[in-house]
Amino acid sequence: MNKPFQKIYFDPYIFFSLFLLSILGLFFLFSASNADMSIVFKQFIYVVVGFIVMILISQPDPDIFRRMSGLFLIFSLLLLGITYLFGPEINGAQRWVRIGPMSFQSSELLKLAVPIFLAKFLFDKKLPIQRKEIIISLLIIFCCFFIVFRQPDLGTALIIACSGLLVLFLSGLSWSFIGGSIILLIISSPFIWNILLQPFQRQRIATFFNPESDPFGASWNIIQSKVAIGSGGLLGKGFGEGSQTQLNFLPETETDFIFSVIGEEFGFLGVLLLLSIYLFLLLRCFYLALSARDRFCRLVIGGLSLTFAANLIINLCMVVGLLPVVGMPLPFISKGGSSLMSLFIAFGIIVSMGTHKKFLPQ
Amino acid sequence: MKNNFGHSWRAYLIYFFLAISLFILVFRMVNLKYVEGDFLTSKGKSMLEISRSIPAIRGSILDRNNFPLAVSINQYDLYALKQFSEEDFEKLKDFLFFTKDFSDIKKLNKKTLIFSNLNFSQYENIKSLKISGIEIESFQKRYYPLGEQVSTLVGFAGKDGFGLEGLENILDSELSGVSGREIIYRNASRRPRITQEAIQGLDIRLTIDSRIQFYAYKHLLSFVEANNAKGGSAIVLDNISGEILAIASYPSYNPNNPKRKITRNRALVDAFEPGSIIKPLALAKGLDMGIISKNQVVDTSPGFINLSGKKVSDPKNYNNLTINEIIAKSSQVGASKLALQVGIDGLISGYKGFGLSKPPNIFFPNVAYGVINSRENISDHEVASIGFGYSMTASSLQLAQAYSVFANEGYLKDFKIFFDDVEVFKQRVIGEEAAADILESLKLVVSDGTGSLARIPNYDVAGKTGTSHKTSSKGGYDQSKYIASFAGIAPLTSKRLTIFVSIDEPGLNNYSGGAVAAPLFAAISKDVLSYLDE
Repeated sequence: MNKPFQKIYFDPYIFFSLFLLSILGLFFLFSASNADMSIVFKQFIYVVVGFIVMILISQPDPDIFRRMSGLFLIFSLLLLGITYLFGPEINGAQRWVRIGPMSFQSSELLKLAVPIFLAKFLFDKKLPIQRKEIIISLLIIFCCFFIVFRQPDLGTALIIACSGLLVLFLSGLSWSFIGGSIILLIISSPFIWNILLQPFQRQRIATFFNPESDPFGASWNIIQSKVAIGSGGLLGKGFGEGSQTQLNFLPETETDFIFSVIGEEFGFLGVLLLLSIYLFLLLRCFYLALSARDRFCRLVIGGLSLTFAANLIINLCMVVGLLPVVGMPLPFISKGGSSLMSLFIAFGIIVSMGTHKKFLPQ
Repeated sequence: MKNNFGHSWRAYLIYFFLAISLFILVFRMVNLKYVEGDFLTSKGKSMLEISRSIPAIRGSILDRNNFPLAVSINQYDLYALKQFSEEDFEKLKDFLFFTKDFSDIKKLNKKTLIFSNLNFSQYENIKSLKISGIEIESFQKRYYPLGEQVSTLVGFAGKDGFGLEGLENILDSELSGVSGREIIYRNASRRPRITQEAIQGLDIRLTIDSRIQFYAYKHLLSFVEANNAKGGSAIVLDNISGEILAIASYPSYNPNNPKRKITRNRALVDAFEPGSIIKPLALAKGLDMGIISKNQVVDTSPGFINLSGKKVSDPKNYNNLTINEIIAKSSQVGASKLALQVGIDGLISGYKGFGLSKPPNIFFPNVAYGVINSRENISDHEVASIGFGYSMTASSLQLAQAYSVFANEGYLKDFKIFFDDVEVFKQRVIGEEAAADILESLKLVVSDGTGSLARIPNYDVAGKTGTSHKTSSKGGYDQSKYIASFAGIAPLTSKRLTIFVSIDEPGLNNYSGGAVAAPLFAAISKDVLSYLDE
C-alpha cells in the first residue's frame, strides 16, 4: 500500500520548465532593466520563494483545495474590498494591498480562486449543465470581473473572466448557450465601449486600429515594440545590444513589453526557444489533466493551465500588435512579485492535482 | 460519469485554438522581421531622432593688431515651456529681473520667450539650476566694434549667419566654417549624439590698422560734412610693406544696427574720371619712354589751345612751363601738348602699367576696374582728354596704388589687405629716374602749386590735386558738380605712405582738389605720421 504522507509530490517536467523559464526571465530582466542588479536580485528572491511555495502547495491532497475553494474565493474578495477601501492609489489605479512590509495585487488571488471555485461548483453537476448553474457561474464570474475592472485593471479582469469561462466551457457548456452569448456580446459591444471602458482604455483600443494616429502618445509603446521585434532579425542584436531597449525608447521593458526586448536582442531563434518552453509546459499540463484522478482535478488543471496560456497569448499578441495594449505581464519573465507568486501557486495546485492518485480504486 | 475534459472534443478544440494562436504569433513575428523589418526600423528612426545642426562659430575679422573688426558672440534666449512652474519662476528670480508676472507667462500656455540676451554668467547660473520647465536657445550675434568706421569695407552678416556685404560676404565660406550635425533622441533623456563635429570658421586678419582707419574715417567725415559734399573716400597705403592700412568711405552705416541702410565702399567700387590727378602718370610714361625730357619747356600761351575744334584752356596764360611746373600748376594746355607728344598708345600702355583699367589685386565684391575710352582714328582732343584725366575712369584704390609707384622708385606693388608674411608682388612700371623726377614735381605741387594746403608741419610731403567735372545724366559734363581729389606721398624722408582722398560734389564755392582734398590729406597724414612715429 502507498503511504501518501511519505511521498513528496513533485513533477520533474513542470519543475524543470519553470526553472528554465525563471532563469531566462532573470537573464532577460537584467538586460531589460539596463543592468539594474537591484531589480534582478529582488526578482530572484521572488523566484526562490515562488519555488518553495509551489512545492509546499503541491503537497496537500486536492480535496483540501476543493473544500477550501469557497473560503478562498471569499477571502480573495475580502482582500479586494480592503484594497478598494484602504489601498494606495498608484498611477490612478487601486490595485495594491499592503500587509506589513509586503504589498501585492489582491486581484492575483482571484485569478486562482475563481476557476477553483467554479470547478468545485460544477464538477459533480449533471451534463449538460443546467441553466440555473450557468447563471450562478456567470454571476460569480461577472462580479469578480467587474470588481477588478473597476480598479481599473482591464488585463487582470479579462484573465479572471477568461479563467471562469474556460472552466465553464470545459465542464460542459451547451453550444446553443455559447452561440447565444457571442451574439449578445456583439450586440452589446457599443454599450461596453461607451459606458464600461475608461477613456484611456478606449484610446488604447482606438490606437490599436490606427497606430499612426498618435505616434508619440498613445501608440508609442506598440510602435516601439514592433520596431524592436522587427529589427531583431534571426539571431538578434545580442545581449544588452538592443537599441530600442537600451536607449529607453521602449517603455515598460521590465514588465509588459519584456518580450520585445527578447525579440530585439535574441532574435527569432531566441523567441522560438522561449515559446517552445511555454508549449512544453502547456502540453505537460494537458497530460496531467488527462491522467488526473477525477473530474474536479481535470477541471482545475485545465482551467489554470489554459488561463496561463491565455495570459501568455494575450501578452504576445499585444506586444506584436495583434491585440490592443492591456496590462498583461509575460508569465515567469516579466518583473513583478504578485503575478509571479500567483503563477507559482497555480502550478503548485496543478502539480498537486496531477500527481495525487486515488489510493482506493473507485 | 461522462468525461468532459481530457480525451474530449472540448479539450481538443481548446488546444486547437491554442496551437492556432501560437502559429499566428510566430507568423506575425516572421512578418515583423522579414516583411516590415526595414520599414519599421527606418520608421522608428525617423520618429525617434531629430537631426539638428550644430552651428559653427563664425570666424572673426581682425585688424593687423588683432583688434576685432567683426566678431561673433554666443547669446542666449530663455524660454518658458508649457510645464513651467511657479517654483521655477521663483528660482529664476534670483538671477534675473522679470517685467512679467508668473501668471502672465502661464496664461499663454505655450513656449514663451521670457528673457532675451542672457549673458554668459546668467546662462551658467540658470543652467546649474537644472529646471525642466525652461529651454535656453543659443544663437550667435555678430558685433562690429568699429561700427561706421570700417563697415563699408568689412560689411556685415545677417542674423542667419550669412555674410551679406563687403568682406563678410566675399569671405563667407572661410568665415562661416562648416556646421556639424547632431542627433537628438526623442526619449526622456534627450541626450544628443554628435554625428559630425562643427568646423569653426577661420579668423581673418586684415592689414588694416584700426587706428589709421579711425583717423582716415574721422577726417573724411568732417571734411565731407564741412564741404556739404555727397561723400568721399580715403585710402592709406604702406609703400614699404605693400599693405593697405586704411580704406575709409563716407557715407557709411552702422552694421550693428539692424535697420542699417547699406552704403557702398566708394574707394573700391566707384570708378570716376580722375581729372588732373592723372597728369603725373601720363608725364611719367613720357619721361620714361624718352619722348619728353625732364628739362623740356612747353609754351602754353595764349592760355588755351584748340584741338579738333574744341577749346582746352588754363585758368590764365602761364606762358612757358617746365614739366615740373605743368604738374605744379596743373596746366591743361601743357598737359594736352605733352599727351599728344606721348600719343594714345603710349598713354594707354602707361596707364595700364600703373594698374589702371585692370582688376586690382583685392578681394572685394563689385570692385571697380575703370576703363580707358580709346578707338580707331582717335581725335587729338580725345587723346589730350585722356592725358588730363577724362574719357577714362579709375577707382580710388587704383589711383592710390599708381601714386605709390613714385614712392617705390618705379615699382608697382600689388597692395594686399590680408595680413600675411609673404612679400607682395612688385613689378617695374617706370624707371627709377622718371619716378624721382615726378616725385620732384609732386613736391613742387605742395611747396609752390595747387596743393599748398596739403602741407603739414614737421614733414615734407608731395602730391597732386585733381578736380574733375562729373558727367551729367543729361550727357556731357555737369559744370557745377565736381570730384575733388588729392594723392600724396608722406613723408618724403621715408616715402612710407601713399594717401589718396577724394570728395564727391563739394557743395560750397571751394570745390577744387587744392581747396577741399589737399587739407583732408594734410589732416589725415598729420595724425597718421605722428601715430606711426615717422
